[in-house]
Amino acid sequence: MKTKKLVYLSLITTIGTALNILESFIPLPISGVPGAKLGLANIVNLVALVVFGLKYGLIVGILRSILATLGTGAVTGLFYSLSGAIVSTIVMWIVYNFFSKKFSLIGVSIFGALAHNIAQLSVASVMIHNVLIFTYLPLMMLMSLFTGYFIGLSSNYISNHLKNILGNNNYETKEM
Amino acid sequence: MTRWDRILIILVIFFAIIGIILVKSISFNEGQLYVVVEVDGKEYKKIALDPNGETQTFHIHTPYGNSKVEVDQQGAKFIESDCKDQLCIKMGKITKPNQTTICLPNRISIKLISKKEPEIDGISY
Repeated sequence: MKTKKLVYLSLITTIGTALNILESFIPLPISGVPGAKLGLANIVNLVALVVFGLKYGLIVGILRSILATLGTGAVTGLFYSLSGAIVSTIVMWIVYNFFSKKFSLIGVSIFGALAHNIAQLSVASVMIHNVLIFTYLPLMMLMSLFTGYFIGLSSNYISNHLKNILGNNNYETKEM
Repeated sequence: MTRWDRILIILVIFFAIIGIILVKSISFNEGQLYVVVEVDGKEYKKIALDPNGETQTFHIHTPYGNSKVEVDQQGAKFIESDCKDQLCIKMGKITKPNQTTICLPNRISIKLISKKEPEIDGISY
């Protein structure tokens, strides 16, 4: 199972990196919110978190950020994406673990998107010494509703199937 | 989609709209505008724009010529000038920060500046 886990985690991380790079080619037709993006790679974060737990979710998130930075070549973006990935994974884990009876994966994902935005804006305000950047927060909150909803929906399907696959494999290995 | 998801979405929309309104109101209050008159590159006069104030006019005398400037609630404009081309009058009123109107023959330039911190040009993620 350890090897299987390793393989699945590597696959998930790779898919996340690919999504991250692919996503940079998709222009968002929304003016007025510079830097807004779909955050497709967060699907991978959420799936890893739900299927494998907090530790592996964090590992996937951090590895994915570093790999995607190498892929897209935006080195200053590393701090933004790292902080966003770490904080959003932790927040999503808290919501998923303690409030999963109340919130579905869509709610979890929206919480994650909000945390992601706040963490990135905090890092940005420290880096450029300007607190005024927080005036973007309301617009980004609205954006994160849509992206969070979409990502929660997708993660729901993926994690259900992945849990099934892993569950079956577990069963087989136990029998053998 | 559970009931709590819906509540969360509504709450987020609610806070976002409140935030947008707050940000709008802050940026309007902070935008105190100043009219800066420069002659030959040196500051000649600086007036704070008062939205409730009165319209005032004043003459500017320079070694190159004389002009008359009107400053009202929204902005400033040249109303009279003894220069040849009268382009400064045709430029009309300036009302937004960082706009300028210039009388080149008399070497007078009028700028609107705001005391607010300069906004961020762009962010790259």
